[in-house]
Amino acid sequence: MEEKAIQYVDPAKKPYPFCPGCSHSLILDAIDRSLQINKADPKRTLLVSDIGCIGMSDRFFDVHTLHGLHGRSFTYASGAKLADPDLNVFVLVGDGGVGIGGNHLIHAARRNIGITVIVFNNFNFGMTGGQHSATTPLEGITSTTPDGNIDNPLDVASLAKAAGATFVARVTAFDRDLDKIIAQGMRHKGFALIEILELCTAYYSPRNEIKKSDLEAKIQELPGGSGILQQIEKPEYSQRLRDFFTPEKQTFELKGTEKMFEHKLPGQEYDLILAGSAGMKIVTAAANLGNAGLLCGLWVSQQDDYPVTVQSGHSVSMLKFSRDKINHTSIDNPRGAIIISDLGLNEVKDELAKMPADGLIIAEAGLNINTPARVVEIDFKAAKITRMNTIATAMALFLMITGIIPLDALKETINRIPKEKIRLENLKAIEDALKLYEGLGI
Amino acid sequence: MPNQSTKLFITGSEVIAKAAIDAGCNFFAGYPITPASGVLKSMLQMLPGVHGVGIQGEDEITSIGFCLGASAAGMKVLTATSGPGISLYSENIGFGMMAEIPMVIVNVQRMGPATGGATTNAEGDIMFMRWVTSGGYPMIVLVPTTLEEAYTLTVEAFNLAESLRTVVILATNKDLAMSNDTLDPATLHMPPLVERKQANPGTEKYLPYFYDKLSDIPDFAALGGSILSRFNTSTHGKNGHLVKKPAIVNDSLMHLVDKIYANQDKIDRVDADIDEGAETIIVAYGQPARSARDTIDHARANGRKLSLLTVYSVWPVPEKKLLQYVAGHKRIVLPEHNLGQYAIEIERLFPDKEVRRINRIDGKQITPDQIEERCF
Repeated sequence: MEEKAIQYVDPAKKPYPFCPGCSHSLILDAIDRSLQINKADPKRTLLVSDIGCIGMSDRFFDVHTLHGLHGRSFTYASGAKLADPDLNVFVLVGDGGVGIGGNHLIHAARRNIGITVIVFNNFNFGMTGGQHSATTPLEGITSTTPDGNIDNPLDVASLAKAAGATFVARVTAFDRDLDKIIAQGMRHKGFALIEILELCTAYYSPRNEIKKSDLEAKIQELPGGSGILQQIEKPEYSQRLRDFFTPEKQTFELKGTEKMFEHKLPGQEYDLILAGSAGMKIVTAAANLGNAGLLCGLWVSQQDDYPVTVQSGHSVSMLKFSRDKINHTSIDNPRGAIIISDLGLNEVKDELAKMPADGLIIAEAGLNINTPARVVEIDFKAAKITRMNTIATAMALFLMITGIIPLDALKETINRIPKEKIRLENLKAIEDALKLYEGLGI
Repeated sequence: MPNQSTKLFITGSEVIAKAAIDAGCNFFAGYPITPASGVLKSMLQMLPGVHGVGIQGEDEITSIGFCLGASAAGMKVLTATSGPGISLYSENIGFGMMAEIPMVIVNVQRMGPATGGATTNAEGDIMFMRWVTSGGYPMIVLVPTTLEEAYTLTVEAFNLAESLRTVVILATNKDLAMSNDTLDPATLHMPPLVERKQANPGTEKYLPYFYDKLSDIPDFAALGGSILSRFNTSTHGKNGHLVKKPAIVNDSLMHLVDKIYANQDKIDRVDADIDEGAETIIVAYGQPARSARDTIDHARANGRKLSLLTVYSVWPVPEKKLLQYVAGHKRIVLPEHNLGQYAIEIERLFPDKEVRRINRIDGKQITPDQIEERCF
């Protein structure tokens, strides 16, 4: 029994709103036929239209439609495909949309996401008054190139090929196989692009005396000519992303840690500055110490400051320990500081100068620190402490001298570090700190 | 010992990502930008575990485009960026509002304008977020001050975006998003989830933008679902077709306005800590609201009366609540990490009251002392 062909373009909605002789109408009819060839399920088919004359097409199609911003149709189509990998998604875009959204096109092709992009290339902006586009041929006359275009035109199909599109075709609107090629592109499992050269009878064609035969001659001059230019089998992106799904759905839990140790915080709050250079693990060390505070039932906040470059310049962390919930998190009255490089010192000079006399600073030897607080200078280099381990060693030493948080709390934090190498280095820092502490004779 | 509280050292970004997952978010797209990359990283780590899709786009415009396409196809979507990215999101935020595609955006504010200070704190996007789209249609912007609030308001942002079919911004700042802070997970409050209202699959003639009263929220039908659906960035009728007829255009645009203001009771969120007889009330949002809690404690401990109103839903302005709680006071102290953007709204609402602005834009936080100095 003959199945009744599904109508994708409702004849009752026609005619299309395009100018007489505009190729858009021919191509939309070809798309209708291509959907019939593929027996596409309208409810599993999505048309995404870009901006321009072609942006008026969505209403004629009885499939799902989305009409979005200029040049961004590739991104919406990709988003829908990422959400629903079995959805049949195609994009209608003009040469204007390719010009403004070319970056999206390149990356969609590179990823091989399974959308089919149909490019209506009529060499100019029809809707806005015949301005030149990225594909206007050299010497082409448009309203914005009255003396002839001097911008080298973009070869859209070649661009897609170079970007890794797994299906690329170039045809004219008058190609007898237009519907079959579009149908083939839609059946392709990865990223497909079909560039269609066509006439703009309002502007480009009359201004430049371009006829059907000129398009057919022109297409043969382009690299690869007409027809299917590239067809490769590669994994499709939205499916591939799902390979990373865990076999069973997981649940994530925020697990807190219980109080295990007693702190000896003098007063309600204690502000501590850790300052050094990038690459000295300041921020990581501060987080370890913060966690040690949590193990003592304290509330802790950490604020970090570093330049936009991660591997150079200063690195400063400021920790606030409090017996109660912390509101204002910035450090205004530090009572302790660990300063292990000039770069770090430079950033916190003002804060150190304001420290109280009963404050404590552990500092790398030779730094010129102006402060009323007590400064304990340690020659970490002479003690053969590595640059990476200096902050962890100094921090342990700071705890031994002040006793605000027991060293065991820091050890417990370190023992919870999953990476063995990092765990062992941090434990070595504590051993080194014990030796240095004995040497101080406090 | 009785049940001890437990504590976690964690950043705002991680808490927001966890809240998004708990809210059922199953799609994230974003582009790396300090200080918002933490949300991107956390979402991309967690999503495969809940069989959701996380992807880094090639730029901000792509990332928000992915989100809009995925949301129109039925996913619950989140993206995160900072000021420069909000600039690039602007046109697509308008698309989301116009096409009524639910989406939550986390804006981790940093110092502007332009590239500004990538690792420097600021809260200078307040007016920018309100007027982010051409046409100036109403935006919903929620601003947490703590980790706990970041959790709850992330879920609330999804609830509002989904139930009102619109774009909601959760505005944080570098200090909250990137800094470790202490969280007791047991204190997290998960509000009941509200989902977008789906069209009945049996609907004969589905109209993607159907409303009876202008303030009604149209039923949603996902792209690829059993009801053919349409989304349109251009002025459209209830059937989703582009139209230019003034009467239809006027209705469809007033619908975008009315659906927000008619639901303001569901959006408005403030916390009022009113001291009977206080002459001064601090009105604050974001970081300074948090510091102001110390100001309040200090002032009251010294026998001075002082009130605090924390505004969480900065847009639309919770006017009824502001009028109600500020009424009994003589003066308003308004600390902001910008040059006085919300002050414009507060001064408009209270032309007869003295408004004392405190403004700071050097990347450092306004301190509790700074606020207290201006309170009496």
